[in-house]
Amino acid sequence: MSESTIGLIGIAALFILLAIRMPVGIVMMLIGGVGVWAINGSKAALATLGSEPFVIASNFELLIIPMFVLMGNLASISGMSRDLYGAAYAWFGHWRGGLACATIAACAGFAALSGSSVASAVTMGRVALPEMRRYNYHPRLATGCIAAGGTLGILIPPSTGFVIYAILTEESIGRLFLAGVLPGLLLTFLFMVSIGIQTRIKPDLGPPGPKMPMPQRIRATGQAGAMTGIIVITIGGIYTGFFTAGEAAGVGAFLAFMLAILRRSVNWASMSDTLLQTVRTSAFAFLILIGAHVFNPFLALTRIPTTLSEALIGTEFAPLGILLILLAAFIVLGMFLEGFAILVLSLPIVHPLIIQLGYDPIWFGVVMVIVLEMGLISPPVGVNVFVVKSIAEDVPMSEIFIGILPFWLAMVACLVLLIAFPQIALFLPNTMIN
Amino acid sequence: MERLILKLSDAVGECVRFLALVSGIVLMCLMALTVVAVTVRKANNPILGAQDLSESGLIVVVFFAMAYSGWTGGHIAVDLIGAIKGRALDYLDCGVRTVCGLFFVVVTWMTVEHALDALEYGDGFNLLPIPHWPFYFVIAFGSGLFSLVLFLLAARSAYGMPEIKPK
Repeated sequence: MSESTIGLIGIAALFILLAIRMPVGIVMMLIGGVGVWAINGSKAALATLGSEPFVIASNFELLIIPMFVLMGNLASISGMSRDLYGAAYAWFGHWRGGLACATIAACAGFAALSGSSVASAVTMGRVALPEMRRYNYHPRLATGCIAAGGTLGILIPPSTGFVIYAILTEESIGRLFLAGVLPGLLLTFLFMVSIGIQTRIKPDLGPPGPKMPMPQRIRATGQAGAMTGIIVITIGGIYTGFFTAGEAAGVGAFLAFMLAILRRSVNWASMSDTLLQTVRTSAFAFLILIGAHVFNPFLALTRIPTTLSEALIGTEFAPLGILLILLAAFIVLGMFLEGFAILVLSLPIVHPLIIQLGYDPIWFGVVMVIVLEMGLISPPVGVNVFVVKSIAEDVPMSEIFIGILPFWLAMVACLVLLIAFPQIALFLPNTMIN
Repeated sequence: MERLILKLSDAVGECVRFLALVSGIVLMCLMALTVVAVTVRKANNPILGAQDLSESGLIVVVFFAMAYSGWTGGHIAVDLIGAIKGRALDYLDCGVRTVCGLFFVVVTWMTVEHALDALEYGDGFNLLPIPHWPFYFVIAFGSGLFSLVLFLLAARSAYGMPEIKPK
């Protein structure tokens, strides 16, 4: 049996095992191990299974994952999400659809403390949804903006999506983080524009709240100052080369911990919950990475990525055409597969292709993360939609999905702008110091 | 049999939760180490082997939490066959978890082999004289516990018991 045939059987088996609910990380380890066995023999396969867990779990660069997860969780318990929402509410609340805009702005701020979309959606949803209900916001707009705003969590650094992309493609985590800043702000702006258009067409979707006097606005902004300080120190530290992305994660988590202590929100119960939640999330991310590092060498042995790249480049499509086909495929995959699964399964094939087509891999990382974000809010398995549903139990799923559509279109607009102007993503990493 | 599974569930649940808390405490120590390492490095007095300590600590963080993550449903699975429900889904989960458990027995066994090799050849971290083998055993322990959790979850599925949620 040829190596390519073994590869194709392996990929088919992978999808079957995924379909019967085997955890993604284990599926990749299993198929990768069996595949290497079939091609290179049992000794190579067993050696890979015994060594990769050590190689990945002792990778210093990956310390960034639990550290940033910890930082986000500490930010949640210290009440920073409420401060953020309060500050955004003070400035935008009196606009038509202003509470939804405040939710988006607060989500963007929280995304700069947390690398997880689900965490952003849950945390901001609990704060923002009751407020929007109080001001008679239409459930469609209220739930849609929380689900969409939450997705900013994996675009605005720190982002677990970027860390996994960087590890799998050997790109710089720091450069990827910086590449996510301006597209994250652009997407935040486009989400707000989308709210503006929706409430202009249908004003009763989001009636304006009361206007706050200037001193109150300044006070509310000041209360979010500590959080802003942490963001400036971590992201600014990476940009100026003061410390590495991993060190920034440790320092950021430490500052968030100190702030939580100062605010007296740390006790044994809250701290043990935070730690359990952090290590639980981290362990699943590591299992996926270990799986990817067993599966990817198998895929390389089959030569499927190289053959596929050569075949696509040999077609008459222009690079842009191939890129658009890939993105369309990711959008469709995002409707059925979890984002991390798409990332780890497709990168070994797509990354070499993107480089051969002449695209910047850092830029592509940003584009790919936005496509994964679209998957987070696409039916039928959009994770963020289920998260929002768990907070707004009385709102039907269909209503939430309708509410999400304008934000999904804003993401498409963001993608178009990024493809037309790659400098939006590349400006900061290209000017970073050290 | 059901009572035995419930008793085992209680014991394993407490055990994996305790280990996950240890994992979290080690993570807090690594956080403190990072802050100190950055601070003293900026004062031109770097800590020798801080990276080695972080790398070895990270292994404990990951593998002491692996079983807890599996026990509380933290390892993501993709639900593509939404049509299967009820007892059929329980039996499917039982089969899948048994296969995963068996696979992790192999991983545990291979990690023990690597631990013994590392002990024999004296493998260690770069700057500090910390040997690799204890950390291979940490991985083997974490993987072994994870396989036990998977078998127990398979048994729970077979008897139609509810999924475990984080406390």
